[in-house]
Amino acid sequence: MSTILEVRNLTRDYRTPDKSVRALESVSLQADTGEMLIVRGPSGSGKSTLLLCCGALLSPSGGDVVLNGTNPYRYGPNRRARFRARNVGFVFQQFHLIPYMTVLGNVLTAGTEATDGTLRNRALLLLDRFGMRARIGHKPGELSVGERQRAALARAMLNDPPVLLADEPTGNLDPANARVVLDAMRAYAAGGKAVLMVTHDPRAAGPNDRVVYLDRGRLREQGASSDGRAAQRADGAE
Amino acid sequence: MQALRLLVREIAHRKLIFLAGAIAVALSMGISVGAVMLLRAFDAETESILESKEREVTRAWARFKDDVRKTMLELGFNLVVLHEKQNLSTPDEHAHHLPESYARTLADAKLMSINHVLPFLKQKVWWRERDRWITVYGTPGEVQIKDPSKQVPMVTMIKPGHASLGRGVHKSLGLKEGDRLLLLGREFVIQDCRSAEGFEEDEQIRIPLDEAQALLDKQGMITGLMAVNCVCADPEGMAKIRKQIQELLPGTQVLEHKGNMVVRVEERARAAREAEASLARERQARARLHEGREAFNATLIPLVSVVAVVWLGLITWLNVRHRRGEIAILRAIGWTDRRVFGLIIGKAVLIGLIGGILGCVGGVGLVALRRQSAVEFSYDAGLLVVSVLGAVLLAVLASWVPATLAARTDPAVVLQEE
Repeated sequence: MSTILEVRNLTRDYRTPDKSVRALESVSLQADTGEMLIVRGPSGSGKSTLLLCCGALLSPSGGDVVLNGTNPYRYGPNRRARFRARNVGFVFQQFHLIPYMTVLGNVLTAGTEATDGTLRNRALLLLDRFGMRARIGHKPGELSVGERQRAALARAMLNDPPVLLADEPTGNLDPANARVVLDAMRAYAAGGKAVLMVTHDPRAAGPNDRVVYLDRGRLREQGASSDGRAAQRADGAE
Repeated sequence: MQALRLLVREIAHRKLIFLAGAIAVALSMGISVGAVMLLRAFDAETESILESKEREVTRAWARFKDDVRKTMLELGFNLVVLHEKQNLSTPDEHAHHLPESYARTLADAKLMSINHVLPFLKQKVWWRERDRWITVYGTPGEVQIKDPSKQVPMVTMIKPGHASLGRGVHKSLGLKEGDRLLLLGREFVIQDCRSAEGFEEDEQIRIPLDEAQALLDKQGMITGLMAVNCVCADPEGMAKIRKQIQELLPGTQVLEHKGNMVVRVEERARAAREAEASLARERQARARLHEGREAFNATLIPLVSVVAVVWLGLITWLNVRHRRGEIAILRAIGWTDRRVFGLIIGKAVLIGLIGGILGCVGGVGLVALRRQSAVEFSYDAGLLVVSVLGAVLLAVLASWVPATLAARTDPAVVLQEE
């Protein structure tokens, strides 16, 4: 196991003309390969903000994000985008599939430098794994919610990124579909990757998952993982 | 490849927006191309009209010069030699004739003041085929006195089997050059239809002398001779030459002759000047029309282009707004701003290309419908190619700002909103 994602004293403020809101306050955590890290907290606790900062989508107001040994916020927007493509896979509650592209086409939109043939094969393998082979020619409007999320998951995994970031991926799913998606993410983590999932659903965490709690932008405590690691305090002390 | 696939699929998904954009470009291009080509067709027509009028002017002046020449000659044709018994008040009654050989005799005498000798046979006859009176005038052209290579013919030679008609004849009968007519049982082809020369000349049919002699049964005979004296003949010189001719040609009377060529020359001059003035007027009028059309085009083309740019820009901006979530996710999964920009501009290029081609077809169709003249006009392929490229440029220009906005979409902001 090695640390693939590290967040150090992360702070994020949202400024409006008349006030400033601190969404994250000195948050520090790390995710290791082979690990599924759950970030729980109520609505408005800063979970999505944390996820976006970890995913090189939202510049922090303070602190550092190191992903796969690199601080992506040292890059310009385009280089950061390319970094994201190679290193991060996103899964969202709303799926965010392109409505006029087929399932296969949606998965392939995440494609990077690999050749079309290679990407296509990889996409088909993923969709096969998620039981979507028969649906590759269908558009999102023709799929069930569970199928849509599986398609989004396949897209997130296309480039085999070391980190998968999921924002309430089971929020719109029934328990059965939720189970499928969570199992798929755990299997991905078990393959030497890291998965960071934010959720307010207490049922989302598995017995081997590490859980941290975010409350009003502060990391309050972590739940013990199955290997007995000690809970971390809010100030990040071991 | 993914980008192209995405582009094509999006167009297929939002066909109406694509069509609305393409139609705006097509209309703009169609109007612009049509306006330019109509102006060019107008210019082609102008060139044809002016060329035709210039030819008319050239012909008019040529006729004038010819008549001036003849008039100068006519003014010198101040002698007519007739039979001594010929009654001038009733020329056709009891007509007396001279032998044709008198022409050669006078010519060979090489009298100093005489430059040309023109024998003629003239007789008023009843034209039975046309049920009217007509004067048949036979002339060989002239009899050379000087070196033929230096002598300029004084009258238009009438070809064998041909006839020249006076104005009164061809106008009343509706005849024209090339028509055939029967005259006292013989067929003639009309060589030319003369304009007004004077009452007597206008009622003449001129044919070759030998054919007139055959027709009138006056073989070897002529009515008289025209002879040129000096242009500035003085009265004493005139009397002297009269005497010389009468001695040379017994049984003749020699008279001074003044023709009506001056009137005809003046008419010719007037016609030539009128033709020139008409040409100048036409040129001015066409130039004014051209300027007007050019000015109209100078306003119309930019106006329709601006409208198309604004319309397309608006459509594209609305499209980008509608696709905000889609663009955000593309940026989130690693699409660079350049790639997103290219997506929007790529669609604009297609809109421009299709709209441009449709517009050019429409423009050509507009010209084909609107052209009123049959003047040959070729459609400029270069203009059409440039127009299609212009349409693409117009579409890209219209989409530039929305594409930039799309490229700058902050995925975090959009994803958080959604």
